Amino acid sequence: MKALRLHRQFEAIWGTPPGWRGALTTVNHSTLGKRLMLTAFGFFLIGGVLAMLIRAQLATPHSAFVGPAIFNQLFTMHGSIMMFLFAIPMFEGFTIYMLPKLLGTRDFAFPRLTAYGWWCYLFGGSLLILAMLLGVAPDAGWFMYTPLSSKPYSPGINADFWLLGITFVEISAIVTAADIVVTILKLRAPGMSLDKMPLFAWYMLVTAMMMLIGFPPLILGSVLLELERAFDWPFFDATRGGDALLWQHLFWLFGHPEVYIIFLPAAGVVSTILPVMARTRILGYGWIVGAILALGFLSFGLWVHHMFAVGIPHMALAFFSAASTLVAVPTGVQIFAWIGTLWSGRPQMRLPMLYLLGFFFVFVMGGLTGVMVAVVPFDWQAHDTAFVTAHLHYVLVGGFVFPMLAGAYYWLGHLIGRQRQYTLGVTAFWLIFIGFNMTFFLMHVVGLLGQPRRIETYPEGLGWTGYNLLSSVGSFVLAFGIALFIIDLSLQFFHAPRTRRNPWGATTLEWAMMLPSPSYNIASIPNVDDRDPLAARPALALELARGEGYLGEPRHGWRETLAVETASGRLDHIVVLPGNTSLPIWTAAVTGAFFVAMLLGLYWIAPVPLIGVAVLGWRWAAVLGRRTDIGPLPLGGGETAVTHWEARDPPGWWGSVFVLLADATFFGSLLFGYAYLWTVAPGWPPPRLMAGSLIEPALGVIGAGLAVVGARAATRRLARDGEGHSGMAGAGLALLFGALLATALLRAPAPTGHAYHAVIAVMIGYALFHVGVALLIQIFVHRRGRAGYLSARRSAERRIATLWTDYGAASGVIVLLATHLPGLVA
Amino acid sequence: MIALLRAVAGLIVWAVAFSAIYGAQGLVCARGWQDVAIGPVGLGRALLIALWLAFCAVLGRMTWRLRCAWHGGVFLDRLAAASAVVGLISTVYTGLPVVATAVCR
Repeated sequence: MKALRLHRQFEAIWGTPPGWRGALTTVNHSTLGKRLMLTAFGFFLIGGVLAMLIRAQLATPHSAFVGPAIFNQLFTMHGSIMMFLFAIPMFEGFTIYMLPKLLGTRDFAFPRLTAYGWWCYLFGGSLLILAMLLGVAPDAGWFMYTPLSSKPYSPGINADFWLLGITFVEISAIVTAADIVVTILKLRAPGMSLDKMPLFAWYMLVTAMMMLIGFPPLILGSVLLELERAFDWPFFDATRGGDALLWQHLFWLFGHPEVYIIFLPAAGVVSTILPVMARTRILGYGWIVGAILALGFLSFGLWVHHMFAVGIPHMALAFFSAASTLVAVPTGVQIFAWIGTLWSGRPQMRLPMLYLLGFFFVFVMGGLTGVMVAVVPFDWQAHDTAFVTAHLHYVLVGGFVFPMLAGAYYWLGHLIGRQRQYTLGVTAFWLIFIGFNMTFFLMHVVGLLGQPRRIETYPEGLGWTGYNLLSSVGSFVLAFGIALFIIDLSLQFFHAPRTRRNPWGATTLEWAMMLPSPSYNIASIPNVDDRDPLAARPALALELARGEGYLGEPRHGWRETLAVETASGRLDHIVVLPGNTSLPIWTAAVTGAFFVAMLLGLYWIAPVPLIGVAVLGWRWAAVLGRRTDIGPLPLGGGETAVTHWEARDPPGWWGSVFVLLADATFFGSLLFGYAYLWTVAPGWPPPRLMAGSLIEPALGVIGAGLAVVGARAATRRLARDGEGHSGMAGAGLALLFGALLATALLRAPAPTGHAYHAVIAVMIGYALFHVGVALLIQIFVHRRGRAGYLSARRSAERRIATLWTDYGAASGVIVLLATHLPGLVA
Repeated sequence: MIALLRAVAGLIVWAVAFSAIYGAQGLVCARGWQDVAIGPVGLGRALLIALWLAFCAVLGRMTWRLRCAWHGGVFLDRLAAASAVVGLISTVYTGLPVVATAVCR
């Protein structure tokens, strides 16, 4: 009865209230995760229909089905929807739903941010679908190469929908990535050291870090292209010192890691399901972790292999060809670990296992053609032909969709509490497998016979006709398979019998709870001492439900979970999480208003929503915190710990660290763009450099120094006396702000004349923004101190302010030097 | 957290090496340093080879110093050792083109 009482008490605290109000304000990760997965699947179906339209057009030569203008929209939207609105949100949704359960905790580190990410995705994705419905969908390819996507060749609003809509969705991805990293590093069950973490958590740690580093170059590129289109700032215009290849570099710096970002979570699903299907432990845990880390880094060294045909020197081609072949090794290590696991186990041919076998077959084939195109002479034959289309679908569908379908069947019981294997599901698998191979295998052949990509029709008599027709037939078979999959899942939802708690006999923590999972996951938090916690303690679920672990008694209506030390997993402090609130949806709506204003060309209105976001962000932080110290609290098992308000290392501080890491990557990409244009673009050095001065940089350095020293002095004073003020830090930031503003108003030339001018303008704007944000944060923390929210123990807010002050100071000084020095030196 | 960074230090050094060598190649060709001869090789290629060997040396030293960590019991230390080896092999392999390929054509 204790379990039932605890369940009711925890549900009252963690549950989502019924009705609209509950639906719009919930921050619960299970609800949000399911929404993300369902929505992503919806986008998958839309993208799939677009694919059907493409195949219908290409089934016969000179088809009259659609004309070239519509066809361009079809393949652009198919790619953009699949990559941005399906793949990433699908694994994000799965991670949001499953990760806390796997880690033995109750929610993510930043539940409101999870909700914000969901709403940004919904609103941003809707913008793109709206474009499609209005007949102005983006049509310059999912990769939007300049100069095709620049204003002269794409005068319509189509490209702006892509640039603004995708950026909106990417904000969601970045905040979710920071959320995931902090949750994995800090919010695990006590005792779960990094080497006892489930492999899926390692995969997601690397994936989320890759997102933080890989997405900012795309966001920068999108910002620059939108500035060029809206205000004629010539970043990519070769007649004014720009370079169309800059876009390609920025895009593929994102684009290559992107496909590994898509693959790794799916590989994590494989690593989780395969040992269970084989009724054994995974073989080579350490090797797999090493391979994942290697993959995470090496994948950032491949991007130019998408640009083998642009005319770069032999040496550069060789660098990237070498790296592209090398990356097959860590991928292969994982494949062999999985094969070894199957070999050492007793695999059972249940439906998830069928999809895993499909994954092996299809993904390995894709990997092999990948090594083929990594070899430059071969790529020069296959570039921009259907061969590449075949390769990318083999790796993406094999590497992501098949594991996704395996995961759907494996965890269906977890999500809905019911499951049964119907023959319909097996039929669906075979139709999907056969249909996929029929559609895309033949594409290798027709590509080598010379058929280009992205053409809306082709002539008779080249020998392509039969292959295209069979491909299109295969695509319909694939579509039937997907349809049967949907019917199968729907049947299970309505008719399948209730499942046992751990139907597969798995050993990971997500099965240590009732199914479907409650809003709070577990009534008490376990102490973990094994990689397979349920293997040693099969009755763990009942123990936890009876409150026998940590935090087994709800108190004060708090949503509590535990934070641990990063590497060792030793218990560190209690985290009290925020509950349901309408802040996320409001903030997402106001963020969206900015993007819509830009889209409609209402540039003079656009700053208003940005101010709105700042106001809401202030409130976001202001509703947290305490006015009194409370010291350590009991958490069960005779142990005590401080709360996060008084912890040395709270999640909030780490969240700022990782967001700033992504920010720094954005800045680094901007500096890279500056250096690239200076070195490579035609028309450099520009006719006139900005007249540098010593005054603004000197004032800026003084200001930055005051800011950094002042922030630290305030932190020290807070620790010593329980109070501190932001006077020096604020003054320093204001001085730095003034130096930057003076540079912008007195020295910087008009941005439209040359790419050099435009880059200076963006750099100054970036620095002004960050110094301004740092100043705002210092003012906020100053007022918080006055209001009693800070003390010697409750010092996290001041330390977070120091992080942002340091960043503002550094970026401000770097921009001042980068803009003034060239003119001074010349 | 620092332990995690140490665990991937070898890979971080590879990333720096790859960026530095690729960036230097761009600079060499933009500045025409390849046309300045130093014995049988151009200045540009000599610079690139020097960079490459320097990074290989750094990673070689890291690999050597971490050779005992393979057999220790600490997981993150073993990862650090693996990271150094992977970084070394990757730098040798992906930097090898500096020796033989045309620098600016």
